[in-house]
Amino acid sequence: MQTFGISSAGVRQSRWAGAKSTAVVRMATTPAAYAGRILAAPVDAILHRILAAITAQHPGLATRLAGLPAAAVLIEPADLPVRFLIRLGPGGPAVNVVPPGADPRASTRVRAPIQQLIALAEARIDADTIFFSRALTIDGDIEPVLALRNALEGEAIDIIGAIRSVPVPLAGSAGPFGAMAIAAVRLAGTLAASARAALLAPALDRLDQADRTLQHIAAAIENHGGAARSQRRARRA
Amino acid sequence: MELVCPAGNLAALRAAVDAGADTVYVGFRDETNARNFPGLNFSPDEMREGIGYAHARSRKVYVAINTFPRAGDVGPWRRAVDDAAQLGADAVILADIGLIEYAKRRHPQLRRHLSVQAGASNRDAIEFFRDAFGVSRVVLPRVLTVAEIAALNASLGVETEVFAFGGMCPMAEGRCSLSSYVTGQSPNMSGVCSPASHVRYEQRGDDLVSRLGTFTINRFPGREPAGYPTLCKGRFVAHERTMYLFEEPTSLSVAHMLGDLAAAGVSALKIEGRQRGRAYVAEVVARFRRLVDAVSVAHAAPGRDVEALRRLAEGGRDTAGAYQRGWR
Repeated sequence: MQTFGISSAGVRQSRWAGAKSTAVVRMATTPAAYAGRILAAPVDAILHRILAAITAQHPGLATRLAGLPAAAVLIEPADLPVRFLIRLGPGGPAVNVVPPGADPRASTRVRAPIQQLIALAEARIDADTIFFSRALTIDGDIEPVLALRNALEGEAIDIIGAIRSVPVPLAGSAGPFGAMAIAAVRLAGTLAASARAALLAPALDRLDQADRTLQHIAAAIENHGGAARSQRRARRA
Repeated sequence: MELVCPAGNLAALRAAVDAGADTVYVGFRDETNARNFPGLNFSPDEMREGIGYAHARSRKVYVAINTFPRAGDVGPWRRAVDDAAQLGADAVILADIGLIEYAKRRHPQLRRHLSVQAGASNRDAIEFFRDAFGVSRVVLPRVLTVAEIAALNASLGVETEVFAFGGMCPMAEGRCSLSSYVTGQSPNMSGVCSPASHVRYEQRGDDLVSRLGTFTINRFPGREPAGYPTLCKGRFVAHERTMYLFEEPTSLSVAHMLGDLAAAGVSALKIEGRQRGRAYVAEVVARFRRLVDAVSVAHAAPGRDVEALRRLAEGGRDTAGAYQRGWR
């Protein structure tokens, strides 16, 4: 079972129960970063439940990743405003969402469209082929990424199924960033059919809402301006 | 011709069998085989399950134990041979003379194939392995022309297996120390060429830079297809020109010349790539299955399969390598 928390020192800790040691990623402790971590916490809880479901079904995953030195891999979906940090090494695998504006230390960055990232995680496409074609960008140390790829390949994991199996709280309870990230995680389950549209839906909804708000404000300004003009005309008369 | 296909894990083995492989070759999860990458390969239990899966479908499994034992520490290599025999492997693929002798003495009924890592590329060498160690098959190094392979097959009395698709190793197998010069590890002793622990890729603007140890070995501009970070496919500056000195990022493919190899008396075609994903394995095996079946009934090779295989190649290009020696 996996647990996580934020210590009083502002250090995020993620621990794999039963492991001999604890992996720690230190992050900046500015007020903005602290706020970001609070916003990210509900998403992390979901990610941890998804990872727990996967590792319970695939105990071989930890075996294949055993013995790796500590490393953090930053996953950047090229078409989403959300990033994830996967930590490997002593303490077992862990995954966290990266708060907006945070700059976590990572040994490797992996960047590709979200559909390709999920297809890679489920071993439905060959990583070398899309890397050769430059559709997949890898920046940094290769060993943790290769180990992760080989472990996922060996276990034939149903990522979509795992995402769908975990109950997700209402997006609105987690603040604007949390809502976006939770929606992304939840809607990833529909990727097989219409991933991109589904994942962008929350952002589009918010844009629509923002647009309506702006129209309301613009109308209010216009009304206020119209009233002022009427008053000026009345005074001149 | 027998289609011998790679698998780096159980899922890939199943994919290869389901796609039409006659045989799957595999390795244990340690330094006893030449694809010793993190997270790859089989535990003994997985090996047992994989062999069971293949045998239930009348397919075979060969176990590669094709690195050279460390001086004074032959134990892991001998255990691998014992495990392969006990788990029901159909053959072991060996390179080291001492290990072949051990396999012959301890497991005389277990077929012994000579790995490409043994570098046996002439009649005298192959006949020595045949006569001294009862080797049933030799995997030929990628240095021979089709005509030379035909001449060997005419009088050897040993099955020959040739590489048909995948990694294009331009050096003399079993004798290449390029990786060792930079990292201290080589495919011969450690089972890894350019070990992942020494490799970095760096994105610099639009360019992709590959580094091995402290050396920059290639820079792929813009959208130029990338390749593996091996020194033999590094781009070097010589005579004030930046160029590939040994080999370009490319894959070997004989998809268009299977008829020639069949006529040359080749017994088996080997697809390289135990380090590749199961999606790759499934596609390459399925396409080669169709190609081999077409050759066996004297049909022309399906052109769409030949073209599709090129898209999976390193650097997006393929070559017939020494089989045709197009550079001469």
